[in-house]
Amino acid sequence: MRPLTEDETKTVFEKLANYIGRNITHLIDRPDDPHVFRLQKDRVYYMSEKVMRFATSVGRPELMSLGVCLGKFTKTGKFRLHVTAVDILAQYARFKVWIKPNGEMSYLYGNNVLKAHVGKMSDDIPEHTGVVVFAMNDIPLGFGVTAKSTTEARRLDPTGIVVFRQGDIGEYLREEDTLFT
Amino acid sequence: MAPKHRQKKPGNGLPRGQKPMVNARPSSDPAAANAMSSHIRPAGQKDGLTRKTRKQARTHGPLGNVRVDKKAQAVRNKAVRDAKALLKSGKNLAQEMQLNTALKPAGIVHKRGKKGKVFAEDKDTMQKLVSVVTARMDQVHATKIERAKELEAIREAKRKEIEKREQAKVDKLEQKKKDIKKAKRKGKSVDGGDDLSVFDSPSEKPAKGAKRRVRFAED
Repeated sequence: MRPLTEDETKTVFEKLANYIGRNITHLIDRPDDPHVFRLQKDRVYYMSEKVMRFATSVGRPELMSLGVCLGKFTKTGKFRLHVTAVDILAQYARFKVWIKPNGEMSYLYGNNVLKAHVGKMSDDIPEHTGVVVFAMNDIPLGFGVTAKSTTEARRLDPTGIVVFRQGDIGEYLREEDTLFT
Repeated sequence: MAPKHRQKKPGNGLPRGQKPMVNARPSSDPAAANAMSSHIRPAGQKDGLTRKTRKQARTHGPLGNVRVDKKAQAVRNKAVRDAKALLKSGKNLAQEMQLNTALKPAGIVHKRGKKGKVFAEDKDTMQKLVSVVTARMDQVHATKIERAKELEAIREAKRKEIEKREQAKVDKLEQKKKDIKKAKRKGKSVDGGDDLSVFDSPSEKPAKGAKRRVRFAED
């Protein structure tokens, strides 16, 4: 376990800013319970300082996970968000898309969001922006990237793709073997 | 016994290996066949070398493919002579000359210290990174929204233009239909008999909605 370098922090923030924008400051600046970012085996974790101090007593080979895993760094240095970060993203999401009940199962099986499944979406969402996908009762289901802006999505056919899936909570079952290894 | 002195053959005055020059002769001369192999040496070059050996001296030195630079040799020799003089005078050669630059080449600075990572742990650094990243993201988003609005405005204008053209076509069609109907009505009233309504007094004119009747002039 070690803190992140400046470059790594910048890469992580760029990814997070795509989904939560300026609300990253809420992640950093928490006077009641300060939280930190730590790197362990190419995975970035977000946790409170108390948990971090406990984790220092565990050796590096034995330490498997700590706090909330935001994602991991690939071999080429890029940062990839995991579904385990969806709760944090949903809390501070900038743009949201709600899915109808008939489209939930399709999304959780790993498909993209179609126009016919969209219940409602935020206004003025630009193209190719990170969004968090919710069910109609405000339960976060995952996150993705918009294929079209809000105005263009209104003119799409019912079979047109609105959001490209990046992560969904169905991965807890589908990627059970690789999610935490 | 004294060695025999060999008599030298009467030579042509040229060094060994040098061919005699062949002057141009008339074609009737039987020796004109050799005229093509002759070459004219420019005046002044009488160093006694052949063309081949002269070329080799330019590119090849005693060590092979190395050209000896006499100027550099002279500079080095002077430095060596100065060094010897300094040695004789008793001063520290290394300090005075500083000739040996192999260990410390000028202009190269070596970084000292262990190579390590600089962590961004404090809040100020992280806040600075956040502001940099979010500023760039906001700019990107603003550009995307602006471009989307512009495209939307262009599409709207095109749609209105198309609607206007279609409306103009429809209006033209309707006008044409009306004209044809009018013409038909006029034509019916002219072909079906004399219109004697002109002889009627204005009071006897039938009402607008009433059916028209035709009266023929009786002889």
